Amino acid sequence: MEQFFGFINSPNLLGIFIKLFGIILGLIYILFCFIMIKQIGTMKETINIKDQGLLRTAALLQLGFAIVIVLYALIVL
Amino acid sequence: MTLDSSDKKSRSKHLYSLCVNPEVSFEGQTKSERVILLLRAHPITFVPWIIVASLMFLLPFILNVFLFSLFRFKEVIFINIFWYSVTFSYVLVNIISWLFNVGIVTNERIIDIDYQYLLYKEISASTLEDAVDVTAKTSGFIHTFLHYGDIYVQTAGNIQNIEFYKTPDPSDVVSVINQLMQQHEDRRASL
Repeated sequence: MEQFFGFINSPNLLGIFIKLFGIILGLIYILFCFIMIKQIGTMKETINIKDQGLLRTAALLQLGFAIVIVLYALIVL
Repeated sequence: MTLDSSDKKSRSKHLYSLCVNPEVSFEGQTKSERVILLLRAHPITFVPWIIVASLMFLLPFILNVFLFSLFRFKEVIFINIFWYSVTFSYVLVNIISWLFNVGIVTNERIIDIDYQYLLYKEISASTLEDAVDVTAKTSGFIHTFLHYGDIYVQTAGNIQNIEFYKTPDPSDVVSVINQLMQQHEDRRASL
């Protein structure tokens, strides 16, 4: 019991919480990025605006940020 | 703006918010259909989200002072990366929303494509034949000063009315739609 309360009060707990929070947040962000990529494709089918792939590049860049967030949370945090 | 049906020169005004004879195609476009006007919200409508995005960009410079006393260095870096990613997404969502929320006027139809929260698509369309009345509404100092307003296309019967909000040069757009309606009427009468 003492060990349990010791763990609860340890400064590591906040670190574990932040790491878990970061991973979950990053995964939700990745999901959002995939939805955005798919949605941009659907929108461009509705109206073809000839953006020379700029929107898709921006959406992929966003996905890149999301992957960096998850990797950072997994490795560094 | 004057409309000449033989003039197929592509041109745009107000940062592509008013495009005449644009080189775009849309879902359900027939072979004989030609896009004459492509309408988006006036660029002044960017101002609120640009202010919010600027504040989002600047916020970490202030907050980091407090964050460093609460979290470890690597955690603060994580918060910053995540925050700037969200800021980037916010800007991207607003740009996409502006780009794809369009009004289209063709030589046959008037179409309004609306995306709400990016995921809900609503398309209203009416043939020029069904359009009964076109009205432009400009209210307030900023609208008048920057020449933008709302356009209402009233349709016959149970067909949903079409509305284009915050469109640049609304009176010119109404004039173009009226000319097209007249041309359509003349063609029908001559048959």
